[in-house]
Amino acid sequence: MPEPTNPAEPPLLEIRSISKAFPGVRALDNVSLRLEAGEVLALVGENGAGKSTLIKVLGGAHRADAGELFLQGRQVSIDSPSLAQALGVSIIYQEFNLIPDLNVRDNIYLGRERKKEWFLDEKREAEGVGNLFDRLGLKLDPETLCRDLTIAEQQLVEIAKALSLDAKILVMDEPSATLTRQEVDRLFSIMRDLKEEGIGIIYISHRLEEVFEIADRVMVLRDGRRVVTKPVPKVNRRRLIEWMVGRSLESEFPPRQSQPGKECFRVENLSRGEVVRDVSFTLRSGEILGFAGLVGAGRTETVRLIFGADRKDGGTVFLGGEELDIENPRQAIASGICLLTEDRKNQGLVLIHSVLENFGLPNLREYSGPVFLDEKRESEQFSRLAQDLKIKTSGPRQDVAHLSGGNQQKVVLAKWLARNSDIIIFDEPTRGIDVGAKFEIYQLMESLAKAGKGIIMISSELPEILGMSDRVIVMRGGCIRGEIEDVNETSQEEVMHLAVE
Amino acid sequence: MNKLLDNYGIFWALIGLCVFFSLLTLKEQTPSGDAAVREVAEVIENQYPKNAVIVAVGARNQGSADFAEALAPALETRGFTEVLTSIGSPQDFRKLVEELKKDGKSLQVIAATEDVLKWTVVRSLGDYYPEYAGARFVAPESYLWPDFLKRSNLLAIVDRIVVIAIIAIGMTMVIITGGIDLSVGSLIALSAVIATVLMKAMGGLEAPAWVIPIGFLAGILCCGLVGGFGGFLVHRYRVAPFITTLGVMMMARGLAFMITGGFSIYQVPQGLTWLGQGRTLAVPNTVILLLALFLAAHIFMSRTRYGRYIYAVGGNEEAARLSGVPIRFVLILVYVVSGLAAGLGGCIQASQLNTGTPNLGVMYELYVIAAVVVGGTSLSGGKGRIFGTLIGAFIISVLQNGMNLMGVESYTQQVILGGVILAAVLVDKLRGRSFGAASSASPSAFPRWGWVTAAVVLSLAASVYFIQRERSAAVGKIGMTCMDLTNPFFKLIANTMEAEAAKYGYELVALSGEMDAAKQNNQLADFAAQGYDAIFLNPTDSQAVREGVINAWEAGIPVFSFDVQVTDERANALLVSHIGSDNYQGGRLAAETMMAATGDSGDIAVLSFPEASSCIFRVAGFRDYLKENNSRLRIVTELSAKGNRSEGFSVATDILQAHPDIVGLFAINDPSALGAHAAIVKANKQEQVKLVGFDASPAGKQAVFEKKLLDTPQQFPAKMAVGTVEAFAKYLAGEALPKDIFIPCEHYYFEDSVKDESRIREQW
Repeated sequence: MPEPTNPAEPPLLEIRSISKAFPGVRALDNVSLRLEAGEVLALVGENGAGKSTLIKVLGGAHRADAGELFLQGRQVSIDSPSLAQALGVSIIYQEFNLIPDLNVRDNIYLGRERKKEWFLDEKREAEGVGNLFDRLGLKLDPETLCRDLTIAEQQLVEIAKALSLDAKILVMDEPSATLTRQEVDRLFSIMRDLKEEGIGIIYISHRLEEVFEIADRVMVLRDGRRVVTKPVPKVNRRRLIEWMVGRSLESEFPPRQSQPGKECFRVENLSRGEVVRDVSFTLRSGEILGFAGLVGAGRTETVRLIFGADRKDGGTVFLGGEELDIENPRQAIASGICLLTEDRKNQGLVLIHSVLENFGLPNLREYSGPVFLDEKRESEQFSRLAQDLKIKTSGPRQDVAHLSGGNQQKVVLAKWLARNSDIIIFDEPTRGIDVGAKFEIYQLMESLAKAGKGIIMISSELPEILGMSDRVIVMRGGCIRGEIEDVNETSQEEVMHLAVE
Repeated sequence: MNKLLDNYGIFWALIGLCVFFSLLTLKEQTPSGDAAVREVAEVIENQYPKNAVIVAVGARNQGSADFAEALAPALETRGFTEVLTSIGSPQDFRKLVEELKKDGKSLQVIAATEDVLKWTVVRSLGDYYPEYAGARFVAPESYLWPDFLKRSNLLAIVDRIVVIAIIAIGMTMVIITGGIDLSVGSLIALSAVIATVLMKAMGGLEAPAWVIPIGFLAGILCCGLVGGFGGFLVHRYRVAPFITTLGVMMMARGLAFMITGGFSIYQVPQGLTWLGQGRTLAVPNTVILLLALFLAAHIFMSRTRYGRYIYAVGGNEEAARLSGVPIRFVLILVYVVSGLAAGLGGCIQASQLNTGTPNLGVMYELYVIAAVVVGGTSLSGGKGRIFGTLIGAFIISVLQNGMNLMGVESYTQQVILGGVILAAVLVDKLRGRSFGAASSASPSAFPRWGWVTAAVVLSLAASVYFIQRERSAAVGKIGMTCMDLTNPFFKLIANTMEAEAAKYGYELVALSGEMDAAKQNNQLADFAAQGYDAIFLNPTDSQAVREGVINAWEAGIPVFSFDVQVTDERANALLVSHIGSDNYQGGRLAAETMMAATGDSGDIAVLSFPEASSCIFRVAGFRDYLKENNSRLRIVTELSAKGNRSEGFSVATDILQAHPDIVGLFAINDPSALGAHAAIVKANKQEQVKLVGFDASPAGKQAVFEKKLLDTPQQFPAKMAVGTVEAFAKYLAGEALPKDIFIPCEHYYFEDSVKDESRIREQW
């Protein structure tokens, strides 16, 4: 545990009583924070707790209304992202700032290209990148285009870029959300090395187990206020969750009560190139079928084939014993299948449109008279579902972009629930969603199962897979590698074993 | 209402502009209603005995004519016995006075509206008829009202924007899906051409009325198909809409030219003008159509399933697809609608111009896009409002009309229009930002903004208004519109006219028709709306100018054509006079030179410009002279070089390829002749090919001096300009005028150029 070596020495970063208000919201209320050199400070809290605002203030993307900022004891005011970089504060946002069509080297030196006379000094740049990669223990061709990298690799490139900027403070916003376990391990080992070098890291994550693994101290934010800051050894998971949601929590998952009935859905020999190979499985009504596996194992690709979002090479899909011929999502929806995609922002929602418009999109045929839409019926059905799902909006006309992740996901849920489909596919339903909303979504899945729907749930979080599924299918390399009939008799290790060879 | 203003913030800009132009065009207006008649009758009753000789004079425009007509009976009921009426031109009035003189009668009072009092023969009656020097004028008390807000002007504003606004409906939908359609301008031409060619084929001038809807339908449907083809490419192959529609734009324009062979189609049935010029219950049909279409489009976009789908596709195509939206159908639909709208626009324009011309709608796509964007539709897709587009279209229209009313020069107009488009979009963005989450600006920022803008606009308008008033001590205004003011020929004419008009106390407002018949007709409508005292017209299209001329005539404004004649018979009959070079005779001069230079044997070619009647006459004169003199020269080809240098070069290059043995080339003006000269030099045939130009422009004269051209029959633009203004002055004095005033051309040989000291000095 790295204690401040010299109590007299000022901390690497100190934030004193920062406040920031947006119209109608107090995003940060009198928040203070200290970060020592060589320390990992975990920042946790539900969505909308103010974490993003805090790091945006730190990164110069927002200006605080009040409060002071000290770097190594010196008061500074960070009014622009470039100033933040110059001061040694690097922020790695969830959405990376890499340009997909430039290679790794160009991305790292973007805006600070090394030059020889009038031309780029590619040799010197390559050397610099080589040194950085050595430091990170990274084996990556600097000439690769960033679009060809995995998300984990892109993240490491971001870290390399931060180091090349001589960052003393590294802020990472949910770096692990889309990583596999191995990738997370690698990230952590790099983070430990950086600690050794005296870099202070602020780490934001929804995965509490990671907090216990990597962080030295943890700070909990709720509704824009600091709830508590504690050394990690002095807290436990349960307390942490209670601090985050502001109430005590019995369990992370609702009790499963539904009983799977008879088979309602069957997939045979579904294939698409190398991505999905000969996948067959069945689903019973009232069942939650978990799909586990690493990112890229072919789970998302499989359900996209079922949904008609991509074109399949072969295979058949049976619903209630009848063969379906699905060529596009429209037909899938009409047959009673719906898919809640993993990428809410790009595939699930039209962000610039209102909550109501998003809700109506797959359901307009139902509300359509001979000419006109029955808008009254549409908004009535929406308000009913909004109430059931506890969607928090300022009204149905609010832009969906301004909702929190959990509420956005609930809007996606509402639009599909209105279809009353028999088969509901959830792809990473709780990614980027805070603890409270997660529980509500689990409850909803349970009640859908109880109503006799067949549910497929893809998840990369093993506790979720084990906590919610009746049965688990594990995929790897486009194939089904195993099926676990009774989740109560299995462990995370067993699932991982199937997923990684 | 509040919601309307919230959603359509740009609405304020429109209102602001209207207020601005209303203030700027405030003018003393002559009343002509019953009250005015009563007022004048009372004045006369109080001051003159019942046996006084009174002449009620009315100009040809409605208000003035009605006034004169109503005044006579009003005075008679008051017991006056000697009341005469004269309604029409100054010449009619003068005839009446002559008769009075012959009968030996006196003349005490001339009662008329203000515009009549501007006539020289009325104003300076004493100079012409000393015996009537004592006659007094009585006119109704004038009142202040902006020209901008006159009924006729408001209609002119709607009329000019109808085509653009209707096409903008389709464009709005396309842009909401995140696309763009650059082909609409060309589709206007394609549709107009298809419709009119079909009408021509089905009987032309004598065709029954039912041919018209068939032609229209064919034009509109073809454009819908072309639009659908673009939409198909955009969806199926993911070609960027910009490039797809750019290709379609070029193809459609080329097709339009191919179908007509580059000419305009005039052989159309009588009723063609019903759609574009007709009225139903006193409301122009175009206005009814415009409002109906916008209402339908608004309902479609906001109240139907497919309207929502259009927004969704633009907002996030992938999310829409995964929600079961039929992407292909939606994308093809919007491009079809855009094509149909452009096709309808073409039909309206054909109807307004009573012609189908392949060069209609050039650059219209940009105005359409501007209207959509100013109306608040986001180019990145997913957001936009149909009525916003209507407002955007009106902003553009109001601006153009307002600037024409104020006599802003054509090129300044473009700069201002561009600036205003940018400003409108910028203000909208800034306003949007102040409501955004990331700003600390107070929510009341906009109203404050609004007041500031309003205050600035008003004070600006007021100051400009007073400056205008100081400046315009002129007796009246003359509107002039010509093909192209960048052409030094017309620039010289405009300058000379301005100077000449000033001698008579008139202010000249010169506008450039920019080779666009529809645009020129709008300018004529603006002149008419503002009640100018005369219009000097140099038609961009000798046929299509018809509606503009009729419009001006109905407003009682005398129209003089110069340089290029109006060939539409009805319109030509309405003109007071034509003042122009004798192009036919000039063409004969060119032929004379050509025969002499080539030894009268061999093949020759002609670079023509059939869009301009003057050039048709030149070629006709050229051909006739050859024929009459039994020339052995053979014209192997006659191609249009559009009267400019670059086309002259490329067309002549092609001619030299196809006919390497030609011995002579006649180009209908100097720019195309000089272009041809470059082609001849390139082919190294200076010795072989004799080149004759036309106009004796400074560049042409210099070319003659350098022996590039053998001859360039000389026109006298300054004489033409002076002649036109003189004709107007004679008209005002009530003198009889010949229908055509021709100014003969003269040869301009090398010998002339050596002697000519003005060759370099002259700046036209």
